[in-house]
Amino acid sequence: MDIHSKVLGGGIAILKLEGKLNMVSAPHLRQEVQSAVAAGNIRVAIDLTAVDFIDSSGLGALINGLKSARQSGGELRIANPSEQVRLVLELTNMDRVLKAYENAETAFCD
Amino acid sequence: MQKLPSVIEMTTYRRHLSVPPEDINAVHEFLRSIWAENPHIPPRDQLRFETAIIELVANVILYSVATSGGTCEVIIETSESRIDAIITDNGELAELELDEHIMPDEFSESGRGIPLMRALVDELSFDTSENKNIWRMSKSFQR
Repeated sequence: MDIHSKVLGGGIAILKLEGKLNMVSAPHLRQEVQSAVAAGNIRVAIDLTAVDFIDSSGLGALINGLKSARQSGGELRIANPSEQVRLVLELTNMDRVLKAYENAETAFCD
Repeated sequence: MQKLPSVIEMTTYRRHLSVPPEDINAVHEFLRSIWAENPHIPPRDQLRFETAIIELVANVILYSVATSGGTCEVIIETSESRIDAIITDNGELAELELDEHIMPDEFSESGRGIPLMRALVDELSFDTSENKNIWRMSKSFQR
């Protein structure tokens, strides 16, 4: 999986993921979110547009990132999940905690 | 539009997985070739079955094969209205009661694998025999 990071200013970072978020790539995502939060970008938007598959390891990495951001007073939000990602979020009830935003760029515009 | 045959016979696909150097992405490739050969399986059912299989093999790798150096075999059978999978490994023998695995609280970072699989397929079972862990799952579909 490739992860491209972009800092918007105002403590917001966008992580754009490409590929499969599974047991192979989940540690990479954990590390990237923790790095963003450690750098002061405590509001992290995860762009899932190019993620075609997630498993429970990937879900665990998102929850880890959510907790990291919140522990620093921030938040983690997800944007534009695919059909498969939505299915996994719904079946695990995680759609209640990780609400999907339409666009990562505007996920923190409220 | 592709014309589908009126009668579809059962077909069996086998894949041995050596971890390492292979990883879970090899199973994605294996399934991609199966879906290509079985266009009668609706995309929605492919999606659900693949999500369950990947979840299962990832757990086998993580909790059995990777820790004890065993190997894993994935067998998939497709037929007119059903997909079955048998996943065996000769890693560390597991002691599991599937009914005891319920969806954890929302901030837990693990423990969702088995309840997720059960939500995705019609049948999921686990057993051990002849020093092997044996998982079976199946899903019916309508063409």
